[in-house]
Amino acid sequence: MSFSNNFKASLDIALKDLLYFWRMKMLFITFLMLPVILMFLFGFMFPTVGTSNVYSGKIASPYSNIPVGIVIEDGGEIAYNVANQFKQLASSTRLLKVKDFSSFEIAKEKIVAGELKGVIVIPNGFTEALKSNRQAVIHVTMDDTSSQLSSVVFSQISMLFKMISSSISASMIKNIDASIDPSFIAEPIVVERKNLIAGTTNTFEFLAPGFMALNIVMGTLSGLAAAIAREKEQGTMDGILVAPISSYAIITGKVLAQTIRGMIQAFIVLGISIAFFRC
Amino acid sequence: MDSMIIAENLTKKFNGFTAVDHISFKVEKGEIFGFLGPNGAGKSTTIRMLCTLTKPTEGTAVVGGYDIIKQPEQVRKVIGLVAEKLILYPQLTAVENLKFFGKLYGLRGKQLEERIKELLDMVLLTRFKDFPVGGYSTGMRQRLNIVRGLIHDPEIIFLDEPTAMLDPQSVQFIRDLIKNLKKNGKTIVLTTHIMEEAELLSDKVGIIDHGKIIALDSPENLKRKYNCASLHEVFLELTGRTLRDSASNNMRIGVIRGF
Repeated sequence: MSFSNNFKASLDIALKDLLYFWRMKMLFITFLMLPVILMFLFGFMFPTVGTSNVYSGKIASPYSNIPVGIVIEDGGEIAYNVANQFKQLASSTRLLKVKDFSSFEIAKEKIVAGELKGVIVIPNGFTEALKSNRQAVIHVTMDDTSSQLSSVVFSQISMLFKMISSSISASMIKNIDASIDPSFIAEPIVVERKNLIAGTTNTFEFLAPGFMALNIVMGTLSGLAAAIAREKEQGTMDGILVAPISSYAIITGKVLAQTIRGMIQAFIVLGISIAFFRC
Repeated sequence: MDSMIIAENLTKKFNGFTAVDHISFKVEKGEIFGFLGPNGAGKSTTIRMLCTLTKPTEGTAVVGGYDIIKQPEQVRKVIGLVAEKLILYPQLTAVENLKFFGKLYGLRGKQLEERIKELLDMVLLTRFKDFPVGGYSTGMRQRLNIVRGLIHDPEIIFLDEPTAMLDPQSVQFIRDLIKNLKKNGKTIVLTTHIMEEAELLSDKVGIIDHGKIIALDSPENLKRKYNCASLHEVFLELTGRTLRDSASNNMRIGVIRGF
């Protein structure tokens, strides 16, 4: 048997396998679903933590309106002002959805019930500390069942308070000397990241290529095993083996079909990451 | 006459179990050779060896003038196999099935289309040619399965129980088809458990038991020799009336073959 005949036979086997795959609707749909499910799963397990700049007010996040609670234990005026500023910032940036609670215990139960992702407590003595020129502390409790999400939400909460705190320091510095740039006093040196690619980097920008490779490799290997096992079980393998073609042509054809299928899946992954996970 | 199949000391051992034990026989051109034997006697293993699907442990065979060990690709070109299990993809239509297997034999284009048309006409399936085979009745499937093995017009045809589990109409149709193939000068190796069928169709029968050929002659000669009214009686006379439940051996082979 000549090389060209074997080559043609392997193409025929590949085409037949792809046609078979297309006709097996359930199998086809499951294989298309797999990368979609994996993509969303990993997308939410490892959320994007964008780079934000407190002073320019630039905020990067894949999430919006995450429910958090706030408890104001301190009765002072400043505590209420800070809480209101926080709520305003949170709603204007759409990062968090802030709800008031009368006590930490009630809010904690809401975390356990999964209704809140975190609770912010402005403790007693907050106003007192600021009035007497001391640092005031805010307590934050996170839902620790999802550590990835918690760290993102925590960084958002602290970022918003940092913005409030820097505006407070700015006004204080202005009161002392209007000619000084307040941000210079607060932070004389700022690290600013210049990315190679314009825009913010996104977890999916490195997850997606990995997933594409994973789909081709995993899909081809498991699909190849399944395709050969199925032919053996059905008895159709004997029909191919008894034909005057080399066994390499059979393997080549089968691998080719699975590789093409894997590549189609890879493009689906690419499409999903562009459609859903772009920053 | 030319011998189309010459088996010499053909032997197959699976893990110490001898499935086929030094068997030798000849099948002449244009002959229907009835290959008979109880379940697990070694029929299918012998056919698999002759079709180059299994390598013999010992001995060899010349099929269509080519050695099954040294020239397997040449052997494959001249043989057609209709196995016990259907060699058809249920999700593909009759035409798609025949096209795929035809292409594996290097048939292409108009030549292939004409051959498919001819074969579908032959088994009266032209009407259903674009339906998936999975929806066919058992008889229709078997008719298609047989012509699938004939796609490249082979000189030697192996038919492994072609009429098992079919209705009388389908059985009659397939028997006529086999007779027609013989008329066209094809050499046929037929295995069956229906002794009437073997008697009706075969020019020569070989009875295999425990991996050994225990009788090899025309049905008439065998009936005369053993003084029996039918081949059925000859078969029982030779192989005994006890049931063959050599399950342990069969299962061992099953594991090795990966069924």
